[in-house]
Amino acid sequence: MTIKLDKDEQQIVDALAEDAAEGLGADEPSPEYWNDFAARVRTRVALDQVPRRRWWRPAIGVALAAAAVLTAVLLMPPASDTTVGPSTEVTRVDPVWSFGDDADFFPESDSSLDFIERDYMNDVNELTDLTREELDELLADLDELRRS
Amino acid sequence: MVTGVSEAERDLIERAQGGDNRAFGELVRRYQRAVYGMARRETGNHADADEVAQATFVKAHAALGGFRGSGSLKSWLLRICVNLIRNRRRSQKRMTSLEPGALDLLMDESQATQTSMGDEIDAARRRAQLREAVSGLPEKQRLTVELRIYQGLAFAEVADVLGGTENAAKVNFHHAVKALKTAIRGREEAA
Repeated sequence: MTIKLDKDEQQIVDALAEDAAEGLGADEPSPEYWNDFAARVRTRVALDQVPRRRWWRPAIGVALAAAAVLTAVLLMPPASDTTVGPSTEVTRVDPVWSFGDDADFFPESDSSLDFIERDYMNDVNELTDLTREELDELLADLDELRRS
Repeated sequence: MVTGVSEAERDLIERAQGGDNRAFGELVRRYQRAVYGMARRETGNHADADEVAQATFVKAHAALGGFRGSGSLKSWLLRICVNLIRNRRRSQKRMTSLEPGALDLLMDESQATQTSMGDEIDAARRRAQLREAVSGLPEKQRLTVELRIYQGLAFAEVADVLGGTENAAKVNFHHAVKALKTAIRGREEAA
């Protein structure tokens, strides 16, 4: 099948071809944009390959640690009051593994869990050009390691 | 085995399929302008075009293992881009057109920089009218013009990207040209 165009239609096709040859003209992005484009694609691809952290993993860790502490507290022998002879003086024997001042080992708010609330893409958007370049170099090194 | 592309490109594609990110980066550099250009003309602004173009290559990277090379890599990438644009349009329910005032802006720029060059002003005006007329075409006709003229694909490849037969692509193209003729003539008569 061939397309038959009249004179006006052919002029329109020619004008379209001219426009295409001109490219985007004023809409053309800067050369820096093109230099940066492939690097940004690589960064996004790399981030897509990193498995997302599961919100429940750190929560399970905290729960297990809390359970271990609770178990330890329950198994701890009661502090015994030892009396010697007729003396009524009470001698307190602290177990060597007493938690003492470590009671606040798990603070109420754990800042290490803050990342759960953040979308990791925000991190990428906040990267400076320098850090993005460094990330690219790291990815390139990783490529070479894989190949070697 | 990739078969429908040049040997040099086949090598790049196979390396990229094997996980070589440098090879994939080279492919991105080869086609970034084509993909961005299409996205720019379809979305009408840089921010959306950048997002669509980036997403096209990220999706292409994930799907590259399935590329068998029955068509060109360019038409494969443009198909991904078309699908993303369509999905985006569906979700945003936004009409595609030139940004409001884009035509005036283009004219102003032309007049500001080329006041002594009447022919060039006319050329810029005609070009702006043509772009506006293209942006007003129905989606299938507009994409056919984009792929055939702006991306330089053969009609068989246009059909591959948009779905349908080669003849249907030719018919769409002819309808598009007729519609453009009508739109431009109407504009000239109104002026």
